[in-house]
Amino acid sequence: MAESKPAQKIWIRSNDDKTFEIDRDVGERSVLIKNLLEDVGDADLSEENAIPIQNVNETVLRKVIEWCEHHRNDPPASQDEESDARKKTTEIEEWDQKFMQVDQEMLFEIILAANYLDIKALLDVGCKTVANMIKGKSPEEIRKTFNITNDFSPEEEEQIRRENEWAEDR
Amino acid sequence: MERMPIELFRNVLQELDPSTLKNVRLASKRCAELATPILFSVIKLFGPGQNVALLFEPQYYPKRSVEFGNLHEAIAEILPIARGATKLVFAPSFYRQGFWDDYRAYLQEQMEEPVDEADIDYSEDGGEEDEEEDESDGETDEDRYEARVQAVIAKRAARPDVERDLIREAEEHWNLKRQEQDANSERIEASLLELISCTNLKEIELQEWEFNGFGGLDFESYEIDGKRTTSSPTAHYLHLIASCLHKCGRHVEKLYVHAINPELIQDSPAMRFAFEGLRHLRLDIYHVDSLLEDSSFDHALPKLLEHAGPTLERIELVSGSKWPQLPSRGVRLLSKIFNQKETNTILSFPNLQSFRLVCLIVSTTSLLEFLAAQPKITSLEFGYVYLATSGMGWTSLASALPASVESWEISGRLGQEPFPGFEPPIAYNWCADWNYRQDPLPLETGWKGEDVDQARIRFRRIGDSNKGE
Repeated sequence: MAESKPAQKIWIRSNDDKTFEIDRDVGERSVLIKNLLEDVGDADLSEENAIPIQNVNETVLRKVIEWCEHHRNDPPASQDEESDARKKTTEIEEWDQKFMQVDQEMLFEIILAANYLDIKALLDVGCKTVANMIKGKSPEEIRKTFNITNDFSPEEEEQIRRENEWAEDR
Repeated sequence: MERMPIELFRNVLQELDPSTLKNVRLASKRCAELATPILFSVIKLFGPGQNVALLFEPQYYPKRSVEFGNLHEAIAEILPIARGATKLVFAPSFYRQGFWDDYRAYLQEQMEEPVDEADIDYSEDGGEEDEEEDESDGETDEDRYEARVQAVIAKRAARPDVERDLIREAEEHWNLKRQEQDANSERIEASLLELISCTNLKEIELQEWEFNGFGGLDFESYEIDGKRTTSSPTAHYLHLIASCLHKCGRHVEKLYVHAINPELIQDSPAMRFAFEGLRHLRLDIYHVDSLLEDSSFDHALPKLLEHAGPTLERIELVSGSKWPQLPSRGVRLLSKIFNQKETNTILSFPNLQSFRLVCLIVSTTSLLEFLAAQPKITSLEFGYVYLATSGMGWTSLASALPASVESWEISGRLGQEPFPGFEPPIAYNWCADWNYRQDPLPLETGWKGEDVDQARIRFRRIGDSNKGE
């Protein structure tokens, strides 16, 4: 068996100027970082020349890195498996569930960061977490949970209810 | 959540079940706007009572039902929510011609049917518990059973008379509905055209309306519809929808037609257009006598399939009716619908990868010829298929499958080898059953079967069995 090489380090910088040193394979969970690394070339990698992550602040980036470290060895999901999994379940593995136990503001920040950094698996977990927060709730409970204002007139609301009857009943 | 980019909000909504999506639509206008195309990505138009007729998964059906005769009114309501739809399931109530003739024929046939245990009514004489006491009257179990059977026969014989008035009233009501269908036909077509134009349908499924009872009469519609030969609502829908697709210049990728008599499928510029671009075609056919060796019926299907030819990736041909039911006699030829008429050559679909055949007593030669003409065929499924060419059973089929086939699956009862000396017409068991578990394929065929589940076995080429695990 070939000896494992020491992990190559890379540096990324949040939009509030905090630089993180991380293993390359952790960073490469992000398609954006992976592509940027290919553009930069190994010779130019340094702490001073850290990759700027423009849309993500220190707190959120730290959280995203924590997720990427935990999932660094996950096998890449095939297209088919992904689409099947999407159809079947909103189940989330236990570690991810705990990871996502954050306030709502942070949850949406993580989702936005996962989207910006192009980390599909994290984005999926984030969206499923929000979906689970909505499931089984009444319209009023959904509004309360997400601070949504009801902007329907009673007639408009009635119209929506009538239209809903054209959807399957489960 | 309101500040989430639309695309991400959609990702969240994709994870939700219909009942939650309905509540999301009620939360705010923006929520409604985003949830609508997801909740109504499939538009389902079912006739009244369909959810009662099919008791499994009643939630599958919307609360609102649709009559074909008033389709334009339903579509006017649906249009605002249907714009994001990619699939249409079309099964409104359709009052077909000849239904009550078929009903009367059904009553006559019932008189000749053997009495099943399930038909016997034990409730009238106090049930089976009292049987011991009754022994003292000298009446045996056999006597009592025979009396009950006779009661069922008498009840069946009386039905035409007992039901005469109800049938007349039901037929009158039915005919009014038919008149409504005819009177509104132009409006119906115009509204369907509008629905198809405003959506981006990729998939269309045409089903029959199934219902339990009508006008106080107790029956299940599939029992009556099983008799029909000349009228088929799904054939009517197919031609109508093809015309709409043609008029608005839209193609779909998947077409699934339930309960269609292949003889009623017509060729027309609109139908050819509707078949263009199809990637997946499923036809559930009944009344398959036109596929018999000695049939001279001139099918439109080969011509239509030619137009789907360049794009078709999967074909499913499912015979039988509601449940697997083999034709009662004769050997069917696939060439009747897959051979080009002018040249009598087999249609070759350059992109066809999978083929499924269900419920047919089929000529092995005709099946193999069809498969050999498909250059990219990789997977096959057979259920309730009886290979009816003497000396060419499943072993022969397996040995002769094209090199491109990577795997094939079997399910349900299968058969092979017609009994010598028996000629059709005769019941379908004139072929011997083939049970793979008791009679596996010889290794020389190059195929080895593995259980997928209790009902299905998948064959892979020996040496390739670990592929794709």
